[in-house]
Amino acid sequence: MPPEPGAHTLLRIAGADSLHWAGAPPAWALSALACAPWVVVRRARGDGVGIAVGVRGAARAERLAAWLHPDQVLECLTPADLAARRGWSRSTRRAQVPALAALDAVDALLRAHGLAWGPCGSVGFELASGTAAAGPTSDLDITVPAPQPLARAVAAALLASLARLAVRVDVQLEVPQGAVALAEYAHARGSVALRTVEGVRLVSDPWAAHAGAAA
Amino acid sequence: MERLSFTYPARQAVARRVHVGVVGSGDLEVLLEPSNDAQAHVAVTTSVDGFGTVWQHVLDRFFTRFDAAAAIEINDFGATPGMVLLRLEQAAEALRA
Repeated sequence: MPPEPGAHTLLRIAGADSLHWAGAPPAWALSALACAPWVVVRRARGDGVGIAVGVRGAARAERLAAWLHPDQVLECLTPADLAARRGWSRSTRRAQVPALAALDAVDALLRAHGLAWGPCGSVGFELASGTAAAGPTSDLDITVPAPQPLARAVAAALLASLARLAVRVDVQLEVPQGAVALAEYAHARGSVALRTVEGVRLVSDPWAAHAGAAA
Repeated sequence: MERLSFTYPARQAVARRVHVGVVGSGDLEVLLEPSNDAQAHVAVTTSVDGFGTVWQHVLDRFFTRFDAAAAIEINDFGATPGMVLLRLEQAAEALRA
């Protein structure tokens, strides 16, 4: 695996003992890992020894930061890997989870715009781990690599196309320094929030090398 | 889903409405408009329960530098405290622009 997996990459581990924590982990985190031993790479600096990861529980408030030594990674799936595998076509849960049912349409739409993409959030976690994580009211979180500047008109057209789908699609554009929300960039008149490993900051151009100081 | 409300003293009048932020995971939208009294009122609706103390700390910090009589509505989708502060400062900046 690469030394620095990108944010939203899903990592399979042996279990809770593979992680180190800031304090004693709560019971929900241990049971979540016993059920699905997968963690999500966070957009944060590693602690020098390990990759910054997050554990996700069933409730929205159940998110816990942890760190993971690269040697402990058993399997590594990026959002792009999940899109390439098209695991949703085999999912029996598409009838109950609109966010899973929408993936074929999202895939076609992004391809039509000439863009790569991958699912993250609860849908990404479900596709990687094979355990139910998304629900009937889940939004669909996706990430779209944008190494080169994306024209605002293209961003606005993509946003408008996605808005016609039956599920709310939340797009993060992955730019060289971090990520910006497609919905904000497409209609921004001023600065937009750029999420980086150092924190979030306002920038006027998401593709400019060094703009502003971290908040 | 949890609703929280906060009130802070204010000195400056607000002349217009401002809307910043994004409805999306890890983000929030901030709607700011003139309040009808000489105080600032913040109404938070958040998708993540149990973080009232964190909200209190973030808003206390923001209101050490912000004294406008605004009614602020926040719709939060699991933003970090850093993102919340950034959106509030972006709203304050838009108010001055």
